Amino acid sequence: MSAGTSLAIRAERVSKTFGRGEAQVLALDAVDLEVADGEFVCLLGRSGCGKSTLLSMIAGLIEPTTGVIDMGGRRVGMMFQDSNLFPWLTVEGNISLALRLSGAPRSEWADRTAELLDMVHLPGMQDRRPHELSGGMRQRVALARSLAQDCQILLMDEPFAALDAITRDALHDQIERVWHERRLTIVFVTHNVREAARLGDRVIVMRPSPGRIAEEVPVLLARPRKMDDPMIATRAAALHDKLDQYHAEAPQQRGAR
Amino acid sequence: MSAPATERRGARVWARTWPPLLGLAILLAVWQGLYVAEVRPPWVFPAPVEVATVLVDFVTDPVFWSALGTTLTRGVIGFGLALVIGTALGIALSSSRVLRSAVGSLLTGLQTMPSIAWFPFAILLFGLTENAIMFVVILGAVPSIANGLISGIDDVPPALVRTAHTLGARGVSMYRFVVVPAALPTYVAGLKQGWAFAWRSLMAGELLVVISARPSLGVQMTFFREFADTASLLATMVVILVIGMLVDGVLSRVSNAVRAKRGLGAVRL
Repeated sequence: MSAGTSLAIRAERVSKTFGRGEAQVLALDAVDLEVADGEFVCLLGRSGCGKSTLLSMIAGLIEPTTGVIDMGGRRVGMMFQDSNLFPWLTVEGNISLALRLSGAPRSEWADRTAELLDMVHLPGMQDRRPHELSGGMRQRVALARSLAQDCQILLMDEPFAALDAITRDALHDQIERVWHERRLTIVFVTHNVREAARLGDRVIVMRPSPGRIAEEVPVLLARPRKMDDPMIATRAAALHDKLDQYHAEAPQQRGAR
Repeated sequence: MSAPATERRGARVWARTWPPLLGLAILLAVWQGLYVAEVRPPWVFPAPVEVATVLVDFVTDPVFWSALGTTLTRGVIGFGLALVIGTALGIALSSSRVLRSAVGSLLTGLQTMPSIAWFPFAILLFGLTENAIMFVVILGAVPSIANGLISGIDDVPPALVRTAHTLGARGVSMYRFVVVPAALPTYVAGLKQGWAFAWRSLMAGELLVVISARPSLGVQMTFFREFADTASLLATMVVILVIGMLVDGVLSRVSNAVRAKRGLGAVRL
């Protein structure tokens, strides 16, 4: 990390245990993580390596058992594998609710909703209901909704894992553009090696049982990137080998989240 | 509208109307058949036509309208109070774990208790008064309404709550913008069931707690039975059935509209 850039996220000796007594599982063991402002970081690992747990702790959805996470008061938005749009609201209602909860004055809602929908390439979709949209469209509305709070840090928990490959490629292009335009800091959880190599400035490889950071791999490729770039395939293959290795080394333990 | 469009609409309406009409016709035919066969003497088992005649007479009968007014007022006030009490109780129970474990199972148990079993106690408490009837109507409807709201709130998807939390919803705003709207379909289903219980309790109450000075549908039925006026008795029963169905129909429409907006509802393949 170059000197002079400030830290957006600093996690120090963060651990998390679930359950108690016999059934206690150490999901995350003394993890240190630093993310610079404007950085795109991917957390990569198989299931049970604690990557989603780490993300949920950064989001404040669960408390770490020990350790501290500091974001210097930056606003944090989050996206999940499911869009989690509120089904009783229209697209506009969903985005307006985020604006309202972040304290934006009512007079701005309509204009800012239109702006955000333009940004995710869904102009004029205000009056649609979530169940009328495709999976990819729903995720784009969810992205617009997260951005409505003017967050500086965006946490993404396998947001494209349930989409087909073509839609996913298109959304990779979009998220890269939005990240660039808005100067966001993104922490992106995935188990997909190509996705990690496609998106991340840095890929943090995690290993299971207990969840730990195994190593950090910088991806120094020019942007905007393309998924079919052979350089990405090479990086992805290397990441894949590392995952296999860490997975084989891991002691067999009941799966943590 | 063009002629073919009107025709198609006519066909749709007909497709929806003929099955219930056929059902009604079969019912009336069986009834008429039993009447003709004199299964029971005609003065205790009247023909459909006699009942229909009484129904027509009701339209111009001020006593009927005053009885109907009394019963409907009781139903509306009783259900309205049950709505307020049940909703408050539901919110209290779903937000307090202690309260929930204290009276939660009792509330579910009360739902299975036949409301007519409350009447002897209610009559001792309040005498043969309006209050005795209201007491049982409210007791009948409150558990369903409260339980509907509680299970609605229990079933709010945790993912939506987590998402709302990341969007900044906390405490009151979480309830107002997420929990309550998410619980709405189940709550409305509870209201439907609550109405059914309230209406049944009301009829039981009006038959048991006869206040002669205030004609109601229940008082009317008691008179008709005493004077062996079976046709009028059956006509009153038809009125009771129709009112119950109408209110249920309105609540069903509300329920379907709420669900359709969210992309829910019966899909038949």
